[in-house]
Amino acid sequence: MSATVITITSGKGGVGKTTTTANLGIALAMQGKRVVVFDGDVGLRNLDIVMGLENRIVYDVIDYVEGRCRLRQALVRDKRVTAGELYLLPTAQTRDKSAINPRQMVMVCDELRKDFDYILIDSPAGIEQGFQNALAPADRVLVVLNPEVSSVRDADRVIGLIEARGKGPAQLIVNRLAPQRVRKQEMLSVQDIVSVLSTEVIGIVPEDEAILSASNRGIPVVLNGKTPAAQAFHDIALRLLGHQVPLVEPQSVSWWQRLLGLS
Amino acid sequence: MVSIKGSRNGVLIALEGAPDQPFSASLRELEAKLKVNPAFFHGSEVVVDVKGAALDEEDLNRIAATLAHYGIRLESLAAQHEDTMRAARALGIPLYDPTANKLSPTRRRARSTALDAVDLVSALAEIESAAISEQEGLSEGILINRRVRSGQVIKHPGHIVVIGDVNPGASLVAGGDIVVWGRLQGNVHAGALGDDQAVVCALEFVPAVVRIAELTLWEPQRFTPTGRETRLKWLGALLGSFEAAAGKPNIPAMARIVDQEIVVSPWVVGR
Repeated sequence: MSATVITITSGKGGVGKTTTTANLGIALAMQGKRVVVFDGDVGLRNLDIVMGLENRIVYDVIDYVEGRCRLRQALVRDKRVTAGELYLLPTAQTRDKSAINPRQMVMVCDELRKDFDYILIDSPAGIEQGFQNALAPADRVLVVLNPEVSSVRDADRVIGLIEARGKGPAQLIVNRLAPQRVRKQEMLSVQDIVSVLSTEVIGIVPEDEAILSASNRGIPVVLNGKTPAAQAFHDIALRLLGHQVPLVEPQSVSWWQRLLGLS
Repeated sequence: MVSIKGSRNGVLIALEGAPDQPFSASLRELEAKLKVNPAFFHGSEVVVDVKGAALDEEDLNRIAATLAHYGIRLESLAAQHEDTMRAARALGIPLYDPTANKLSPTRRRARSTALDAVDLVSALAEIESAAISEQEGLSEGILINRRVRSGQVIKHPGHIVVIGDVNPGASLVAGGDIVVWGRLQGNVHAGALGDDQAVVCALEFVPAVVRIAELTLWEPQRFTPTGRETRLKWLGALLGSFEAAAGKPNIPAMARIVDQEIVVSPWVVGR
């Protein structure tokens, strides 16, 4: 058995990479898979916070790479998921991106591959060393973006770099889509995004107020609740597993469209 | 006369001094050409062809120094005169071997299988050459068969043709013309080596900045279809559909210099 390594990246910061990694990791584990979520953001880690596992970290991946522990000792089990297995591989908060190199990232992932089905790497923002580290072991790459021009521009840049490294084709997760605002033309539509990026969309996550409080409490939305975002993450997990789940862009209808019965 | 050409094998600079033209004049002309856009060649490697000129070591050193001043490395020298070749050997400057090329193995293979066709091609070329002016025959270009994404830069001393879209944040810099068979949204610079006859064409002409030779045009005029399309746009806005309301321009257009100004005009088929 050999795991698939999926890197989640974006170029731009603050678009929801860490939230996406946490939710997809849990959703895949809930499908009975053995999953590791791997924090690639050395020095600015927060996957542990979003997952609510901050207080259980003893060792991290940098400790392993520098020989202070075994890899198993650095893995933190998330006991909330009972269907499959879910582990967090945390990184160091006190170091920076130079603490690990792409070759070591590949080595760590190869070590994990035998025992797991999926390894999700949460890439740091930017296109520098941290991004290169996160990309090196990837079998698949998911690019998270928000429906706004600057996010699309950065995603375009990152997709170009992914293609240049022979890691493509990347797939897109459009995060925080607000149908109301798309309709008012304050936000780009999925179609607008695809016309610029010409890249396959694997998921559309609607704007959801539940996300913020879930992240702050360390209980990702997919764990409990049937919010729209949770449903979207479950759908993406199923698509990653190869299931055919239809992709629908959330729509909003105006009062007079309802009046005319156009929807 | 100094000519700068780009090919798949790299950049070739030909110094063709007239018989009575002193070498220093050719050198000055080269410097003048490089000065037009000092950034264009920075970091590149070139082949210099001095044709039949008889040059000594000092002359060759001056060529290398002129190039080095613009951040260009003299990769090799093409020469016909025995004295020039001797001077190059003495200085350790490799002599250009036209049979050696930098093509990748796959491309080389493609070329060798094409050899059989060469006879036919040259026969056709003779017939067709009457239709091609000398000027057209001189220029070469590069074909980019993909989408050019943000942050990617395509630089070529000849023409650039892109089959695909050029996204916002991408740049094309050409010594000659730029043709985009797709939607042009990035930044383009045609005639970057000073050619003010260069043009920029695109199927959908919506670049951020257009430069031709030394002129710059910010936010070029857009050609949005009128009449029926405009009515559709208003209808689209009413129905709340973003796509229809965006009223995307889809008329091919061309930019060129007219009276010291970059002018964009819609391209009408059959004019």
